[in-house]
Amino acid sequence: MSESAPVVLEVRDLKTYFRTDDGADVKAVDGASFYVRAGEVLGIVGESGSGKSVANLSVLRLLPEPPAHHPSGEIFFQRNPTQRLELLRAPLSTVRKLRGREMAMIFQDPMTSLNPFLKVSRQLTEVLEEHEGTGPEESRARALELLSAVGIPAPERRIDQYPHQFSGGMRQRVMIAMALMCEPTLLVADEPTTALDVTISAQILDLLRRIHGERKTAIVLITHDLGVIAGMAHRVAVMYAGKVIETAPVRELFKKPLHPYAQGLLASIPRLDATRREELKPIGGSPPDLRAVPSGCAFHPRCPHRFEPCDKKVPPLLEVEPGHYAACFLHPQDKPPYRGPEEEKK
Amino acid sequence: MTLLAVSDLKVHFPVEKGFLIKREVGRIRAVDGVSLELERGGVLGLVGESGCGKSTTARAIIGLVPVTEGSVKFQGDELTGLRPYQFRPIRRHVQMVFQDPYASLDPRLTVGAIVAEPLRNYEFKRAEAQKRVLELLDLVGLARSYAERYPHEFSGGQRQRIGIARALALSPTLLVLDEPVSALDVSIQAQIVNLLVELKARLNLAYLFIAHDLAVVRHISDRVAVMYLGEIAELASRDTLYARPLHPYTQALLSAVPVPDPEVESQRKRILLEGDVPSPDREVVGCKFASRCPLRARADSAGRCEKERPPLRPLPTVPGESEHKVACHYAELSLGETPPGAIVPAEIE
Amino acid sequence: MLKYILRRLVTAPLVIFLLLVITFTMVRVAPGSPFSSEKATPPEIQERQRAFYHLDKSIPVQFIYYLGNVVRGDLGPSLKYKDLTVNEIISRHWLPSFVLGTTAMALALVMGMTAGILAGLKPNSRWDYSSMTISMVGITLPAFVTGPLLVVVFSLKLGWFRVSGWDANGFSKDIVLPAITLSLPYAARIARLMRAGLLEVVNQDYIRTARAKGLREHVVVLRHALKGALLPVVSFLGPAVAFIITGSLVVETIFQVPGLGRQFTQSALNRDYGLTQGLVVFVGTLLVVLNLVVDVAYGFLDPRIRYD
Repeated sequence: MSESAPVVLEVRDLKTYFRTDDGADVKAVDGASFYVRAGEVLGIVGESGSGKSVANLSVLRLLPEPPAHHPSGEIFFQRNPTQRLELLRAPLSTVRKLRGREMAMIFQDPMTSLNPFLKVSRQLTEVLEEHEGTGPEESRARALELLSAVGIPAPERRIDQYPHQFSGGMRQRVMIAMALMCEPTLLVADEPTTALDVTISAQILDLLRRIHGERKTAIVLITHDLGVIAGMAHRVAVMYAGKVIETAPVRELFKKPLHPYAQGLLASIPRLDATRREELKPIGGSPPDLRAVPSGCAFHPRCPHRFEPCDKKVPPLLEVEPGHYAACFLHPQDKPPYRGPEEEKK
Repeated sequence: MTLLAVSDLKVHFPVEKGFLIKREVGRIRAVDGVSLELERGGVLGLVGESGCGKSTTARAIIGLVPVTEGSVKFQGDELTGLRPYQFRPIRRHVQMVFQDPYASLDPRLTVGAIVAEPLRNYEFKRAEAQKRVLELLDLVGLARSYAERYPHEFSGGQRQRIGIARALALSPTLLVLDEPVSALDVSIQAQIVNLLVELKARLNLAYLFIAHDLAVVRHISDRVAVMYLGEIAELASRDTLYARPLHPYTQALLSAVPVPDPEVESQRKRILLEGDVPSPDREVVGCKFASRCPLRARADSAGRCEKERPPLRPLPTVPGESEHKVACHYAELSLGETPPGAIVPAEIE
Repeated sequence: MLKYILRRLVTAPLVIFLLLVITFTMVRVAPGSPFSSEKATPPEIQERQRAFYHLDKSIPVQFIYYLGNVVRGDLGPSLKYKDLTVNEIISRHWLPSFVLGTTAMALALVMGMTAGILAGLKPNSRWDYSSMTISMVGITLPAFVTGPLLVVVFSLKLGWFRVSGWDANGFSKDIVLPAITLSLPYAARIARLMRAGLLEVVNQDYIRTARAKGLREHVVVLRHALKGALLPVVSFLGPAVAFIITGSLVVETIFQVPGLGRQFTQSALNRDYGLTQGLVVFVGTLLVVLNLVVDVAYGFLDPRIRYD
C-alpha cells in the first residue's frame, strides 16, 4: 500500500464511555488511535470487550448518546480531496448523510441485520433513494446489478424475496451489496464472517477481496480471527481493553509481534500448518472486566514479562521499529510516540 | 480395545403435515448412516459445518435424541433402544461437555453443588461427594474456595472448567465434547484445549471431540472424521487427513481455513465451493456432495455421482497406515496430487 | 393462506359448539330458574311453561332441540321477554353497542398508538414517564369511576353534554362521554403494548443497519420499526374489538345506552337461558372471526409466517 495515498479516516485518542445507572463509566474505548488510507485494508483484532466494535460504531456515531459519550477524541473523515470533516463533534444530521453513502458498514450476523419484514429490493433501493434521490426504477436496476456483482444467482427473482428466504452466506452477500449501493469510500466490516461456516466464510472473504481489488474501497476489517487478518489486511491494529496496544504492517506484526499480548495471542492459537503437535501456550487469566480495568497497563495481570512500572503507569504507544508501534515498557521508552499518519510521512 | 462402536447410525426427524391427523410428508436426515469406532484413550475428532449432523450424532450416542436406525455399542453393550433406567448405569461412564458454558450451568446452584450433582444422582455419601468435589476442582485448575460461589461470578473459561469438572465427577471413560471451546475467547481457548489434553493423558480418557474449527481438532485428535450432510465423507488418522485429504469436500474445507501467517496466506490457492449446503430434507440418490463438487466436473463423465451413493471405502495412502476411508467414487484421482490450499507439515513430507 | 383461512373456518363451528355445550350446562347448573320470582305462579302454569320451552325434557334432549334451532340461525325465544326472540333482542340492541364500541376503539387506537410510539422512541424521557403513568391510571381506574368523573366535569360543571341518554338516531354528541370512558383502558393497554413492542424492535440489529444506511429517523421508525412493533398490538386487538363492540355493562348503565351489554347482564340475572346462550354464541362467533382476522393480519405483517 502506498504510503502517500490520502488518509480516508483517522481516529485520534478516541474515548467511548458508557454511563451506567449507578453513574460510573464503562470505558469501552479508552484512547484508541488508528487510521486507514484510500485503497487500504486496516485489520483491527481483539477479543470480546477490547473495544474494536464500539470504536467503529463511534466512527459512524451509531451508539445511542446517552448512555454513550465521548470524553475525548477526534474522528476525521476525508470526504473529497478538499473537504475533511470531524465527525465526533459534527451535528448528527451531517454524519447521517455520510452513513451508507460515503461510509458503509457490514455487521456480524446476517441473520438479524436484515429487516425480516421488508423485501430485499426495498432494503437495497432505499439507500439510493435516501441519499441520491434516485427514482425507483433506476435504484432497482442498480440493486440488480450489485446483487449479481456479489454473486447472487438469479437476482431478478431473488430481489423480490424476503431475507428469511436466503441462506446465511447469501444474506451476507445482500448486506455487502447494500453497503456498496452508493459506492462508499470507506467500508467498515464488523466480524463479517464470524457467524458463517468455514466454506461460506471463504466465499465471503473472497468476495470482499475482489470488491476491494475492483473498487479500491478503504476497508476497516474488525475480527478476532488472526487468520482472516493475515489473509486480508495490509496493516493491523491490535486492541486490548479499549486501547490500541500495537500497530504495524501485517507482515511485520506476524513476523515479530512486539507486545506480549500480541505474542501470546499468536502462540495460543492452534495452527493448521503447525509442523508438529506442539503444546499451545495460552495466555493466563481472562480478558479484563471493563468496569474494573487493571491499573497501569491493562494487560499486566496476565503478562508473563511484567515488571515494576507495569501496574503503575500506562505505557505509551511508541514507534519501537520503523512503522511498528507498541505500547509496552519492555521496549526502549525513548522512541518517538505515535502521532498518526501525518507525522509518519516526514 | 474398542470402547465405542457406532454402525450405520441414522437419526431422522419426521416432517409432519396435516390437520388433526398428522402424516409424514418428509424427513430431515440429520444423521444418515454414520459408522465410527473409538478406542479406549483415543481421541476422535468429528468436524463439519453447521447442519452436517455432528452434534446430533453425539446426542444420539449418549441417548439424548432417539435413534432411527443403526447401532451404538459401548464396551460391547448395545445402547439403542434402552429405557432410561437401563441407560443409567452406562451414563456414568459416558459424560458430555456442552458448548455454551453460560447456559449449561444452573445459575441458582453453587459450583460445589453443580459438580456434586452427578455424584448425588449415583448415591454418593455427602462427605464422600464433598471430598470428590474438591479433588475435581484441583483437577481442572480451579481454587477449592470456588465451591461456595455461583456460576455468574466466573468468566467463560472458568465456567467451562466447571462443566468439565462436573463431567469428570463419576470418573467416566468417554467424554463427548460438543464444541467445548468455540464460545470462548481466543486467548482462553488454548487454556481449555491444554487442560483437555492433560486430563486425557492423566485419566486415560477417550474423547469424541466435536468442533467446526479444523485447527483445534487437528491439535487434539488422533483420528478425524469429516461429516457432510449426515454422512462421513472421510475418516483418517490426523496427520494423513490434514496432509493428504482425498475427498474433495475435505480438500475444500481445509483450503478454506485461514492461516494466521500473511506469507502463507498470500501464496495460498483456495478451492471455493459454490453455493450452500443443500437442505437435509431431500432424498439424495447419489453422492450428497455432488451438487457442489469441484471434482465431479472433471472426473464424472459417466454420471455416477448422481446415480450411485459412494460408500465409505478404505484407501490406504501411506504405507503402514491402516485406516483411511473416503466416500468418493473418484478419490483415486486425488492420490498423487497435493491439493491446492493443503498445508503439508514438514515431518510427513 | 387461503387454505389456512378455509381450514380455520371449518374448525370455527367446532369451537362454537364447545362453547355452546359449556354455557348450556353452566346456566342450567346454576340455582334458580327463569320462572322463579317473588310472585308465585300456580304449579300447573309453571308446568305448562316448562313444557312449552321443552324445559321438562332431559338436559341432553333440551340441548338437541336448541342445537337444531341454532343451526338454522334461530337463537330461540327469550324466556323473560315473552314476545321477543333472542334474534330480535340482538338486532334491536346491537347497533348502539356497535357504534359506541367502534368509536371507542378508534379513539383508543389513536390515543394509544400516539402515546406508545412517542414513549417508545424516547424511553425514560419525561414524555415516556408521564404517558406511562397516565396509562397506568387508565388501566387501574374502572369505568364506574372515570364515567361519573367525566360527567361531573363536562356535564354538570361545564354543561357541554347531557348527563346520560342516547339519541336513537345514532350519532349525536351523546356518544362523546361514553366513548371516552370506554376507550380509556383500551388506549392505556395499546399504549403500553406499542411502547414495549417498539422498545424491543428498536434494539434489533436490523434497526442499527437501517441507521447505518443513513436513513432519516422517521424512515427508520415508520418503515423499519413499526411493522414489527405492531405485532403485539394486533394480537391484543382481536379479542379487544370483540368485547368492545358487544357492549359494556358499566358504561351502558352509567350513560343509559340501550346496548347489548346491559342485555347480557340482565339475562344472566333473570336466568333467561335462551338469551344468555344466544348472546354467548353471538360474542363467541365474533371472537372466533376476529381472531382469524388477527392471524391473517399477522401473515400480512410478517412475511416469515406462512400458514399451510
